[in-house]
Amino acid sequence: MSIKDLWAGIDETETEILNLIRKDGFFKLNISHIKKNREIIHLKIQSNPIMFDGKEARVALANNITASLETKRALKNSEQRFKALVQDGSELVMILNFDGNLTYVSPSSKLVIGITAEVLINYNLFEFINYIETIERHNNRLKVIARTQSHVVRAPLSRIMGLIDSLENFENMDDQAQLLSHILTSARELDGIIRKINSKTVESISQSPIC
Amino acid sequence: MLKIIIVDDDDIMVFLQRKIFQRCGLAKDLNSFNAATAAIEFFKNEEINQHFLIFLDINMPEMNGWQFLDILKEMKISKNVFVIMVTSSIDCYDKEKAGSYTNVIDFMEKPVSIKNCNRIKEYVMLKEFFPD
Repeated sequence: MSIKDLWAGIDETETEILNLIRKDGFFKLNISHIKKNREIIHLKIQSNPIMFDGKEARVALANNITASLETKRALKNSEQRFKALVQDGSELVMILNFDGNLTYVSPSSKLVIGITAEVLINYNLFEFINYIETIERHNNRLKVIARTQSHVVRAPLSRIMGLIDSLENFENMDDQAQLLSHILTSARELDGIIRKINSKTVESISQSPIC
Repeated sequence: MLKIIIVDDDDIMVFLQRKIFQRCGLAKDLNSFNAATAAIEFFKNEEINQHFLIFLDINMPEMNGWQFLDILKEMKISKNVFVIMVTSSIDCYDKEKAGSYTNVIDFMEKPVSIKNCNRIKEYVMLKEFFPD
């Protein structure tokens, strides 16, 4: 029985192993061995030529790296699990320090908040939330303006439209003077509302985070 | 007999609607209120078998059109009351919300026109009140 019988041949083929060994000088290789109990172990062999008692000889160091390989494999599996859970998950996962500086943002941030992880990671989360709240406050102010348009602006406008419609359709209306006076009142009211909206919009824009 | 009620805080709008309803023959029995609270008080004293058609404004101070509808639906008289929402709002949210009230049969954008007014007489649920 030679040492070759113990090679499990998992890492490299027998020929490759023999080629490595035949070279003069230092060599190192990883090799799998079958133990007496048929268990396979992984060894790291380092070998140097020496002169021993005036003869050419080799000193070889064999390290059992089975446990180390197992640990590496376990780490790789764990990284794959992390990737599946965090990186490829639909949830937005962020890692940050106590100051709120982000150190990791999962790629799903693009889907969840529409900002890529590469961009988001440059922000401080606390500042970012503050920024978003400012934008939301600003949007709410704009919503109030939009609702005002719908309710308040259209009130005198629809009145004017109705009054003009009456003037056109009821030629003999005895109270034409009254209708005209109502149109003027409504027009003035509309003017006042437009001025108010204008000043509100200017005020809102000056408070905008973008400005 | 169908009693017509206008609920709108805008006096000019009430004036206009009255004029148009007169032209369309809807004004035989017409009442108007410039506050929803006053209209609620009025309904408290009305007979349950009486039928009503309300032209209801949405945006009013003190009690708005929605609050008025919430009180109305709890009243005994409610089953004989038809409501047409009349608003200057072009907000589609208002239109959607109107659909959730069973009393509401239509939604009109101001100003109410003669065309809109004539359409009212064609409603299936109101047809019996406009025999001609």
